Amino acid sequence: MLRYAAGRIVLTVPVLFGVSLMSFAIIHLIPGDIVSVLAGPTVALDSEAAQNIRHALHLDQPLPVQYGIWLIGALHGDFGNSLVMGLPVGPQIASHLPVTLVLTALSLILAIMIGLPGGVVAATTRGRWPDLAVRGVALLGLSTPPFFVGVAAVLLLSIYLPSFKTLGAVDLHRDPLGGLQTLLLPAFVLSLASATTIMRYTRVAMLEVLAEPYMATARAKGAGRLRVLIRHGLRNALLPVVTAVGVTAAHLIAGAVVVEQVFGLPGIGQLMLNAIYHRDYTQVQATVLVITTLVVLINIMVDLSYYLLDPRIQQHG
Amino acid sequence: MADVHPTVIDAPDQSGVRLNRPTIADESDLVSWRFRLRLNLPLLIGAAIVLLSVGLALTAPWLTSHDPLEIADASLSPPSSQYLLGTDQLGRDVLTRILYAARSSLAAACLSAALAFVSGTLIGLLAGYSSGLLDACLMRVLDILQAFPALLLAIALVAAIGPNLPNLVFTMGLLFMPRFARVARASTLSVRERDYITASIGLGVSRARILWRHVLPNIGAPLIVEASLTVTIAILTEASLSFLGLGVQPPDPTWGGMIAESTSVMALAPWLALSPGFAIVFVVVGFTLMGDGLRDALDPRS
Repeated sequence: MLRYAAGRIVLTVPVLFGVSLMSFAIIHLIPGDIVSVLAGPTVALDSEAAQNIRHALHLDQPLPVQYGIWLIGALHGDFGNSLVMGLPVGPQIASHLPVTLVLTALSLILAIMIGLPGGVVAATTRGRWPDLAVRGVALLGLSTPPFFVGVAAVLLLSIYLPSFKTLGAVDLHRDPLGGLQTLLLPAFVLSLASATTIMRYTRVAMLEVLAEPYMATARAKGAGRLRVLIRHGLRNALLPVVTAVGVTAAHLIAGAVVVEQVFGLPGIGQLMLNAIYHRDYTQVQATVLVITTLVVLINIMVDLSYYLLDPRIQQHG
Repeated sequence: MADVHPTVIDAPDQSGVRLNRPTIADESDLVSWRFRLRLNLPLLIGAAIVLLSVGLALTAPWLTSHDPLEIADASLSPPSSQYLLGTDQLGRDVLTRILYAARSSLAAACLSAALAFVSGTLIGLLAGYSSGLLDACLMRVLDILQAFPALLLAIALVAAIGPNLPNLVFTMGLLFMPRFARVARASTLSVRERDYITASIGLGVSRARILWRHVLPNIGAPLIVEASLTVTIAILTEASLSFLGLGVQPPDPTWGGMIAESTSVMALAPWLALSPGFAIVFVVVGFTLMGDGLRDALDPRS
């Protein structure tokens, strides 16, 4: 297990390195001199003020040196100072991260709770109306952008259930229960696309397992219908489902950026979008790097969970 | 010796674990997949929706008597015979704006999918056919690109290089390229071991000609399916970007932008948010059905 885990983690080092390089490079794609963007058009590019800005941001150094300074800082949790607020970016990210993580985790739980039973029902009723209904809903779920579901949900609730708090501040530290309650609707909205993905994977995997001879054997030896379905069927269909969960977890974090915007939640996505709107490039770099690193870590965890779930990998691993 | 048989390969996903779908290349089937496209219901419905949407988008200027930027007397007027879907807070006709938004949305989605298709296929062909060091290097670059959540990288890139239609096409093309490269590479890897490729090499056919005449036609089917599904993701990505204000810029209409603008007057005019949303769902359902239908039609196993 340890060897497998170590090997898997070593493999992600080059990926993380490339991710950091791209996160760093994005800021240098901006056309023109960044100092004129920061200081405004009134400051001459060769003035002392402009030189001071360049020096403070290490922009007078060669690019590889700049990257080195930034990366070493980032590894220590120091992402530089916000260009707009002047405050360090690291603590900002730390304070916004919990909302995003709780939102994503909640969505993932909801997605599994919706997708797994949906897929099993669709597979066991293949071709009949429950299957068609589940697949129809899945098609709509995949085709509807989460922000539209969010806007529509807020609209409907404000008309038919005005007492339901749809928008509002979340403070997970002071009021964890109230925070979770506020996050429930956004999490549900965010979970729909993932739920349909998990449902599709579960359905395909279950259909394959249902055709296996051991399912008939289990029924023949007198095991109950539900027991066969869950103990013999779902257990063997779980591996592709784990893949789906891994794939959707990455989508969920990116989707959270948009959903946080719809519901006005103070997560890392909101931090990133505000940074983009205010051209706060150090903050953009840092948020992109942190979110993507999270996604890479989730993918490692998914790979390690295969190892735990599938004994065949352990033998070859 | 060309166009021998269909080869449908599942691209390994990011984490390197395959779904349990079998991988079959039917050697005995001598008919090209292009002539065996069997029609099915999802394909027909999907293609009809796609054709209708593209047709409406292309003919938008002749379909409506309004201009998407024209400001009428009545703002926020509910749907009526004059304004079929009502007007927005500036008094612009919503139906007209939805039709014109379809043009930029479909253009961005289809052009970026085309860009990703061409560049991804080329890279996948090269990587799969050459293997060795070039293959390893190309694949690592794809790993890095795919490590980013697509929407996140799209937001950051578009924000950096500027939100306009060409930049949207470029950014989304770059983001979707790895999907095609992986499918093309996986298919090429299996096709290049076939006897007819060995025979071509023995005959002294140039590498470029082998790739163009013998490999490419035999890896087309999965790439076409991928293209149709990529368009759906591109439409949703474009909608999300424009919802965040990072798409085609106002006053030009976008579906996402119209929904974003409508949120401030939602209680007064719910139709403003709903109609562009349903437009997105309609078009994406069309492309999804077409993609699923194409997969069934082109897959020799089903």
